[in-house]
Amino acid sequence: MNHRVGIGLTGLAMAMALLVPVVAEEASLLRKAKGKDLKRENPLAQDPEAAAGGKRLYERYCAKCHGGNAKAAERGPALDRGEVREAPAGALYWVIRNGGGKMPSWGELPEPQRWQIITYLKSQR
Amino acid sequence: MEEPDNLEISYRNTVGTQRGGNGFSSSLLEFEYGARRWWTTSLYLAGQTTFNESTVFTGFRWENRFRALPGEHWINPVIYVEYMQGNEADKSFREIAGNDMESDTGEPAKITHGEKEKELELKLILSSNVKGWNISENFIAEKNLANEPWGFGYAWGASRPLSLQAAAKDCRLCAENFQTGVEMFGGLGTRASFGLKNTSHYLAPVVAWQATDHMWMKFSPAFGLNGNSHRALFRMSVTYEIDGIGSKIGNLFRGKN
Repeated sequence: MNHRVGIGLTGLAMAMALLVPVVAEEASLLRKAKGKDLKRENPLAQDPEAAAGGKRLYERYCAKCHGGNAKAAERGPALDRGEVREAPAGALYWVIRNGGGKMPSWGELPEPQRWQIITYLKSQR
Repeated sequence: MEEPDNLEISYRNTVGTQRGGNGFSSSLLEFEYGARRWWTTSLYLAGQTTFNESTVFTGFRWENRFRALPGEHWINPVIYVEYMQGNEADKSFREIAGNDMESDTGEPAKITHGEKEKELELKLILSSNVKGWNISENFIAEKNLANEPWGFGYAWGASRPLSLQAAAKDCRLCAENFQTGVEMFGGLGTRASFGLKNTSHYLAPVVAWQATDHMWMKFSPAFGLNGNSHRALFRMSVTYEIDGIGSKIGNLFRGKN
């Protein structure tokens, strides 16, 4: 490997060390949404079909960490608890979109599908 | 980016035409692991069959992708670093860079298989999610470590599910399980001759189907846009995802079920 490539690799490693985020675990991601993010309304809140579709999406994307029927699994907390049911829709939307702690961002999911998951979570009793 | 602790196993096949030579079928076996939510690491094993000639192993690649910013943004930058060690018989078409052209793949594999190469590749991937569309732009810089100049390339793609909302009933052929899109990719010359001269370019429609919660299939014929390009590259892939593989292996060693 020549000298210039070695310098380039070292520079790249240093740049990555600065860019790579180290995100501390949060006690609750639900408190992170602020302002207009928090005020977002769920356009599918009253749609029972959306909740059924949301359950399918939940099983596909969320259940592996949060457990079947949102009752917790090894990798993530339960989502059938009051804190989640009572949370503003905008706060849940923010968490799904941005992730945090060990949870990845689900920004690639189309917006209506994120709202469907929220409709399902809020329908849990 | 792969979800943390998940392993994705992909088989990718490319069948290509070759003017003045034999067509070929190349294969890539990929193991992609979500090491962190901001770091995905992959190992590729590559081989190819040139029809009426031979089948050869063409090398391995170790790829790492780093998400530069946490959370979702208007543009989400990802830094991509790949090391490739193999030989000149490689026809996997993971990317086009520098002055890659159809004539490069026309030589018989029995000659090119003996020409060893080591490459370092860097990419800046910028992706956006807008109204259901996933739009991605890649700028590629590739360095053959045998004292050749940096080569550059680009890739651009946009895709969208056929339906943005999931159906209420479980179904495999629902519109939301299909993605369609288009990709364009090509070379941008080298540090010594940056530009479109002596470069190849492709346009490719893409169709993907999520067959089960853990399996995807993708088909994408790429069509050459100039005389330096292959006329057609038929690309297909099958991907299977295993959830929580790291935890499962860890539990085995800890004696848990």
